[in-house]
Amino acid sequence: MSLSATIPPPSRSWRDIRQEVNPRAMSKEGHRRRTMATLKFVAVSALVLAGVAGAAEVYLAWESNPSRVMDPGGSIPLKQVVFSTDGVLDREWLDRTLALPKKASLMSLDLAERERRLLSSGQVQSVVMRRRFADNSLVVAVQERVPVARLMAQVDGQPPRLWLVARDGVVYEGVGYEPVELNRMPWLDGVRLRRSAKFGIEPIAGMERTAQLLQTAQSLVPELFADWHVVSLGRLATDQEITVRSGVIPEIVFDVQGEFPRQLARLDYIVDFLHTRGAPPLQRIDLAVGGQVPVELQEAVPLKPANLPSRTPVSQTRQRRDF
Amino acid sequence: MISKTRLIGAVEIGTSKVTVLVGELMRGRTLNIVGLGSCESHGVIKGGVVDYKEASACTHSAFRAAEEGAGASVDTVYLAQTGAHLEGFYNEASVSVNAADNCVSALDIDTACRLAMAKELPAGRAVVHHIRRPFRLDGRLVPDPEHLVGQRLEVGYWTVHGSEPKIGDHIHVITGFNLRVDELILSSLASGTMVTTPEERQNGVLVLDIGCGTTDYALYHDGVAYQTGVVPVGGDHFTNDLSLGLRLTRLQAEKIKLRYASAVVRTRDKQDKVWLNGDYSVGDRQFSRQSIEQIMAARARELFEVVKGKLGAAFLPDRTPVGVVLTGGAAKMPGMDEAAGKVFGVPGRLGESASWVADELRDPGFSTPLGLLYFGLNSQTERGPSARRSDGILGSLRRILVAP
Repeated sequence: MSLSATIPPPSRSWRDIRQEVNPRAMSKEGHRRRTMATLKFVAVSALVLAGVAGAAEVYLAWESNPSRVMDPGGSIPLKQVVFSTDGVLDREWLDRTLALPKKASLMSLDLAERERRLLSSGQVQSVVMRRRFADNSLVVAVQERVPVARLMAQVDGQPPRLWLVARDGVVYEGVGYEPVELNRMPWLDGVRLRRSAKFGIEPIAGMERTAQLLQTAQSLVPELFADWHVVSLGRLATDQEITVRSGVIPEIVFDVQGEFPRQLARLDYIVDFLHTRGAPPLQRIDLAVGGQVPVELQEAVPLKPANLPSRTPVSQTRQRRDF
Repeated sequence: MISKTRLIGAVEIGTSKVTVLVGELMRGRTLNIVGLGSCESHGVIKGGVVDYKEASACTHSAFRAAEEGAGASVDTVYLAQTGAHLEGFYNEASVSVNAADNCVSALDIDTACRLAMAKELPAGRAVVHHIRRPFRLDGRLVPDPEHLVGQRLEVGYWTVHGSEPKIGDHIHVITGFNLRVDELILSSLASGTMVTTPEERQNGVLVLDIGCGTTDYALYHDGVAYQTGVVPVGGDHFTNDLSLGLRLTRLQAEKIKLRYASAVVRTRDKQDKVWLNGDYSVGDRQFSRQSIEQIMAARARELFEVVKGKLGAAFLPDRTPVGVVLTGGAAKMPGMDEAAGKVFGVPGRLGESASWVADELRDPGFSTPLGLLYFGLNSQTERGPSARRSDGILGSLRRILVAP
């Protein structure tokens, strides 16, 4: 027998004294603390139990039907789509583009994919989509591009179609615009269209400045602007010029780097001046030269004297006037 | 796993007042005192609970105040234990080193420690502390004998035990607040740890914690408490003596004690009188200052003689070069250190708390609760090497991580 085996057990320690106390012997504060501790314990236990029950529920559901777990919101059907736009797109276009299944559920919708579908139309500038659980609806808010010009183009060997050009140069097939509204827009010319993966046609460079010209003309000289048929960007890249062909003036040249209001004011003045003088129709006005404005008339006629600014020498050489 | 922050409540249920200190132990290494609750004690006589409801009410009131100050609930309670029921004895054991090469193994140490602690107690007694003295290997003192070579290993324990019902009463006051007592620490050890430095305890020092109803003492040698004890005499007895000697009520005697008492007779002029109230009111009386001092000096001398007698041969002035350190509320009486020095034949001084203690806690009356926090944080007195080694891998890992 070893020595260790013969050693008697240690004496009773204070730690062996039971620390439980009769609840009746507890003070009021002790009772309060005990109640709080019990409540805390119950709350924590309830949380743990709820967690365990939830996990068990998910496990059982997954075991019986994994797809139910993968699609937990499958039981919430989509009741309606709430659509709002700041433009002309309508509900029909939305339904056609979204192509939602008839029995779609709110949670099963891939909103990113649906957004991509809507944004594939160049007319849509931005989209906000969200699920509204209060009435099980899908809320779609669209911000549209505003067209500033139009053009006819033949894409992929198909017959030529009408395309609209927005301020940011995006070219898209407009949906929902009134023909009258479209007819008021000038045609765009002198641009080279390239294919684009995102929009179908690559955005046109320089449209921002062109849109500024058109907007300024529309507000400052609406009568003249109404006759503008074609806006050509053919010389934009090379000469920094925008050429406008109007019903009364076959060629008006604007300087992109200059101030459009000033150029338009000169144009208005010249047209008005020549009109009051009974001058022949204008052939060409070049507002891109600077201080001088060469004007080309369609036929040579002697002009009556006028009160023109002193810096504008009158010349009749080759049916051309500088203002 | 050690939690990052723990709130420790240090509780002293004394005869005159109940004090609760709340310490915030951070990462097991840093202790901040964040709450203090103190109130007049009721239902406690000579350190023992005699009225559970009264004692509970004042203790819980102090607890509530301390927790409100700390702004949080206490997690752990360290309780000071005092009372005349506490006794101690020394038991020694020796074993022959088992290995053929005489190299001391952990099993040898464990066996020696268990043998030394195995003394049976009378019925109704419970161990409060097993305080191990240094090991002796073939007669030489060694702090840790493992892997040393020797033939005979000796170890001794100073075992402090007390009445189980009385200890239980103290514990139940705390459990009545819906808390558990995690450490029960002798008051003298707690205050002794606080008012002496490790060097002083290594060299030899006697600590006297003079409370209201009891005086706790702890004699330190070689860095450990060699002997402890409790004498059921405290500040109340000084008051009582004055009350009897001067024929005063206890309240009046307490007032005189606080104002004029001295543990040594300094007044030579017998005509030097002091007034009871000093406001010329009806019943105001004069007393000889010398008489007051004589009564106090006699009681102080008697108290120290009793302690000296209980220490017996364990106390040798030569082995106690640091002297006597006094603490506790009654130690504030002027001349107590001088009186103690005269009786014990060693220098006497009033214990001072460590410099990190806040000013409002530097009163000697707070040395025990402060010591509880400090003792609970640092002391390994009770743990023998065997207990230390039984922590396992997690314990080792914890020591590595926590060690400074």
